[in-house]
Amino acid sequence: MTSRTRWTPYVFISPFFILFFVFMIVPVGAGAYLSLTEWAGLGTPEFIGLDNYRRLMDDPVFGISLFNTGFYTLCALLIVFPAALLMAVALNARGLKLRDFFRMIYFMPVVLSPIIIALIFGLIFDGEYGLFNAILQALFGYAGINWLTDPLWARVVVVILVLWRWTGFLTIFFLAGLQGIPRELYESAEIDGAGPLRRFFSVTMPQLRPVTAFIAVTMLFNTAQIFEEPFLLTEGGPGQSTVSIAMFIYRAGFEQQELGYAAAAGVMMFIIVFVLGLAAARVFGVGRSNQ
Amino acid sequence: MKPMSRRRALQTMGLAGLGVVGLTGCRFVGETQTVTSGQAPIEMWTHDPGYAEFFTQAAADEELVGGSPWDFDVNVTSVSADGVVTRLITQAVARRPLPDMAGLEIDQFARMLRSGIAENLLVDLTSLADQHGENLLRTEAYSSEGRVFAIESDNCISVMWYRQDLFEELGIPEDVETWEEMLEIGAEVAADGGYAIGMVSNSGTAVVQSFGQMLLQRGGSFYDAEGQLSVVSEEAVDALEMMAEGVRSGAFLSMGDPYGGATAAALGDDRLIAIVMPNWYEAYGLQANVPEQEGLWRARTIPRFSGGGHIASTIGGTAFGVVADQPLSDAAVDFLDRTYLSPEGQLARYHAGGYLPTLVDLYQTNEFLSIESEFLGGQRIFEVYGPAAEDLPPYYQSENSPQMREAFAGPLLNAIHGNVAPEDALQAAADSYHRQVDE
Amino acid sequence: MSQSTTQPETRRQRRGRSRQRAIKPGSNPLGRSLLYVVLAGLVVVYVGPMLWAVSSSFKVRGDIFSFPPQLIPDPVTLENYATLLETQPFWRWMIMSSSVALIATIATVFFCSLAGFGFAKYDFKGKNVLFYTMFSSMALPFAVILVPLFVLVSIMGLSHPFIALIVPWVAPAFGIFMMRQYTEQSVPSELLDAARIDGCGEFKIFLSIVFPLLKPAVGALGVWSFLNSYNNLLWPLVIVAEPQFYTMPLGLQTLFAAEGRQYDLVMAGAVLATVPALIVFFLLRKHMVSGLTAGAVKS
Repeated sequence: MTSRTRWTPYVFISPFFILFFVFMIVPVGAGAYLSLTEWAGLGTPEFIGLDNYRRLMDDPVFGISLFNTGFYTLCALLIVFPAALLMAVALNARGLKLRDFFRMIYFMPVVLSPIIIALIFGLIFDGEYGLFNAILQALFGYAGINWLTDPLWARVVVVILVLWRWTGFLTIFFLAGLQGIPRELYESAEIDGAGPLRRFFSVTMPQLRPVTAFIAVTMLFNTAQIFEEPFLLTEGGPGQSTVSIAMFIYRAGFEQQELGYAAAAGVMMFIIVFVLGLAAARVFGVGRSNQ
Repeated sequence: MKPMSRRRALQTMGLAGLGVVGLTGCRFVGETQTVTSGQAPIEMWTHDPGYAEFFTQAAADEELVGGSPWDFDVNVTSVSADGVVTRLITQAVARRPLPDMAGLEIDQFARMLRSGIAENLLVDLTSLADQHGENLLRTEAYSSEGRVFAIESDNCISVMWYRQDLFEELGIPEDVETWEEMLEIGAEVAADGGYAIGMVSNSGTAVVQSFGQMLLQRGGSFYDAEGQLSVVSEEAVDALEMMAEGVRSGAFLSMGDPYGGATAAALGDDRLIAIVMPNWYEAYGLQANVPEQEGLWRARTIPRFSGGGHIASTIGGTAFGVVADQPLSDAAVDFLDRTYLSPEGQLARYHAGGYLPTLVDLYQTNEFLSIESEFLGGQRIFEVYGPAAEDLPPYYQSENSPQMREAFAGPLLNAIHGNVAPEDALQAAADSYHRQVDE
Repeated sequence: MSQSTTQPETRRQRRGRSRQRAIKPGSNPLGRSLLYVVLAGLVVVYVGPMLWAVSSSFKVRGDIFSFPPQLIPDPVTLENYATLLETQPFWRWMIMSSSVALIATIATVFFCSLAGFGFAKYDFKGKNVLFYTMFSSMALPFAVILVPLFVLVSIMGLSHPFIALIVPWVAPAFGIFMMRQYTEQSVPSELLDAARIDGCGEFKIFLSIVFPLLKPAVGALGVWSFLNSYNNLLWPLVIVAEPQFYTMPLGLQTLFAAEGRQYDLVMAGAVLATVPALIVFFLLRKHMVSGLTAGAVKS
C-alpha cells in the first residue's frame, strides 16, 4: 500500500467521526455537566451537585416513564417481534401470489408521518365516537372502553400503534432472512421426519439468528427512545400514565424549563439504554466486523 | 453593565458556565439602537388569529394610535401557545431574531417565572398597570415578585352556557340558584333522556382546567398569592366531589376536552345542553362547532356552591408582553398601552374577537351594556358579565404550575371516575407534586 | 470474511423465491386459502386506517366525529383543503421539509457510501475499534443528547434551521453500516485493484467504479434518509423556532395543538403531506428491500 492510500480510508470515514465527536461526544459531556446544574435556559447554570439525581430518584413521574418505556420495549419484543416473524413466514410461503404487493402494503406505515398515524389512531380509538368502539358495538354490543382516557388502555393503544407502525418494516428483514435459508436444510430435515413445527424450530430459527439479533437490537434501541407515539397520541396522558423517558426529558427541558434536570434524566437514560443495549448487542454478537 | 444588555450579559455568563465562551466572545459588540419615533413595524407572535386581526386593525386605527410618535405596522406570526414561550427562550439562547411582542397564554406564562426568565426577556410593565390600580383585573397571574410583565387581553369570565329551547322543553328553570339543585335536575334529565348539563374533561391536563374552574368558583385556588400550593383544602374537596357526583349521575359528560371533536358531536346531537366555560367559548366552542344552533343558546352566571364561593370563574387567558432590548421595545410598550389599556382599545378588542374588558368599570358603561349577541338570540350579554366581573376570583400561579398540572391530572381523573375519595386523590396529587418539584 | 460467494441481494432473492421450499404447508388448498384470507385481512388492517384518514379529510367538521361513524363522507367537501391552503402556509412547510430532506438525503448517501467503502475495502490501523465505535453510536438514544445538543448548536451559532436540521445528521451510523455490508457483498476487490494498476486515484475509484455498483443500497438509504428527515418531529420541535422555517410535521403539530383541535384542517394537511413521502417510496421501493436488508442478513 502506498503512503497515499494509507490515509485514504481515514479520510473516507472522517466525516462520520467529526460529526460523531461534535454532535454526540461533546453533547454527552456537556449533558453530564449540565446535569449537575440548575438552569432554565437563560442566566447562569447554577452548580448544585447531585441534587438533580436525588430528585429524579424520588420523582414519581420519572418512575412511571421508566416503567412505561420498559413496558413498551417488552411489548415490542414479545408482540411486535413474533408478529413480524409470523408475517414473514406467511409471506415466504411457496408460490405465494402478490407477495410484493402484500409486503409493500405492510411496509407503508413507515412511510407515513407519525403525526398522521397519531391522528388516525386518535380518531379510531376515541372513546365516544371512535371507529373501533363502533365496530365493537356492532359485533359484540359492547363499546364501553375509553381507550385513550383510561390509563391502562391508553398504554395498550400506544402498543397497538407501535405494532401497526413497525411490524411491516421488521417483516421485510425477516423475509429477506428466510429467503436466504438454503432449501437443502429443509429437505434433509424432512427426510429425518421433522414436521413443520420441528422444522421451524430446528432449521428456521437457528438460521435466522443473525437477522433476529439485528432486529432485536435495533428494535430495543428504537423502542427505548419512543417519543412520538405517546407525545402525539395521548400527550403522555391520561395524567402521566403513558409518558416515556424521551418524553419526560422533552417536557422537563422544553416545557418546564428545567434543562439541568432534563440533562440528568438524559444521563440516566444513557446509562440504562446504552450500557444495557451494548451488553445485549454483545450477547447477540451483532455488528462485529467478523474478521 | 450598561453597554451590553442584561439579557446578553446573562447569556454570556451562561455560556461561560458551559466553558465555551471563547467560541462566542466576539459576538457581544454592538448595542441595540432604540427607535424613538417614526416607522415601527412590530413583529408579533401569538397563537390566536383573533389577536392578529385586532392588532392589525388597531395599528391603522387613528382613534387608538393617533397620538403616538410611532407609525405602527404589525406583522403577526402564528405560533402555538406553548411554542411562543419555548421559542422565545430558545431564540434568546441561540441569539436568533426575537419578536417585539408576544402573546403569552396564561398557563405558558408560568414557565417564564422560573429563574427570572420573565425579568430577563420581557419589559417590566408594572408602571403601565399601576396607572389603573384596582380597576385593572388579572395582573396577578402575569406577575413575578410584584412586577407585572404582561397585560391580559381577555377577562376570561366563565359563565354557564345553556340551550334555552331545551331547558324550556325539559322544564329546567333558567335561574337555578345552586350547583346542588342544578346537579339534581341534571341527574333527572340524564336518566330520562340522556341529556347532560355539563362536561368534565377526561384527557391529559384538560381535566385540571375543568377542576380549576370549579375550584376557583368554590373560592379555592391552586396557589396562594405567595406561590405556595394551596389546593389541598375543603374547597377543593367540594369542587371535586361535585364533579365526581355529576359524572356518576350522568349530569356531566366525561369527554376528551371542551374543544375536541367528541364534545362538538355531543353539542351537535343535542346531548350536551349546558356547559360552564369562559366567554371565549361562545366563539371557539359553540359558534365554531354548532353554528346551526344560533339563537338557541343563552348565558347566565354559574350557580353557586351552597358552601360558598363566587358566581364566576375563569379558565385561560392570554396576555401580551413586550420583549426587552429590541429596537422597537419602547414603541411596543406604547402600542400596547394605547390598544390595550384605553377604553377605546378595550371596546375595539371586544368587537374584534369577543375579548372582555379587563378594566372593571367599563362593564357598567352603555357601550358594553347595549351589546347584544346574535348567537345568544339577542341577549344583552354584559348584563351577565357585569356582575360576574365584579365577583371574579383571582388566579395565582407559580413556576411549578406545569408540574402541578401534570401531577394532578391522574389523581383528579381517578377521583372523578369514583375510584378514590376526593380527599385522598388531592393528598396523593399534592404528595406527588412535592416530590417532583424542586422547592 | 465470506464475501466472495455473495452477489447482489436482489438477484439471489429473486432466484431463491421461485425455487424455495415452502415453510408453511402451502400445498394444502385449505391452508392456502386460509393464508390468503389472513394476508388480505392484514391488508384491511393496514389500508383501512389510511383510507379512514382520507375519508375523514373530505368530511365537514361535525361529521369527523359522529355516531355511527360515516365510512363515506356525506356530504363530500373540499372545504378542508381549501381552508387549509388559504389560511396556513402549507406550501411553505412542504417546500421547507422537502428541501431539507432532499439536501440531507444527498449528503447522507454520499458520506455513508464513502465511509462504508472505507470500512469495507481498506485495511487500516484501528479499523476494528473505529468500526465498533461507529456501530455502538447507534445505541445512543437521541433523547440523551437532546438538551445539550440544543444548547451547543445554539451557542455555536448553528441554529439556523437549514444548518441544524441537516448537518448533524448527514453521516448516520446505520447508513454507514448498511453501505459497508453492501459494498463488501457487491464490489469485487479485483475490480479496484485493476483500476489502481491503471493509475486511478482512490476517490475516483469510489466515484466511477464503486458508487455505480451500490445503486440498490443507495436507493434504500435514500428512502430511509428522506423519510427520517421528512417525518422527523422531536428535533425540529426543539430547534426550529421561527415559524417561517417550520417543517411539515411542525406545522401540522402546531395546527393540531392549537385551540379548537382543528381536526378537519389537520386531516387534510396530513393527507397532502404524505404525498411526497409516498412518491419517494414508490419510486425507490424496488431498491428499498434489498438495500435495507443487506446489512442485516449475513451469509
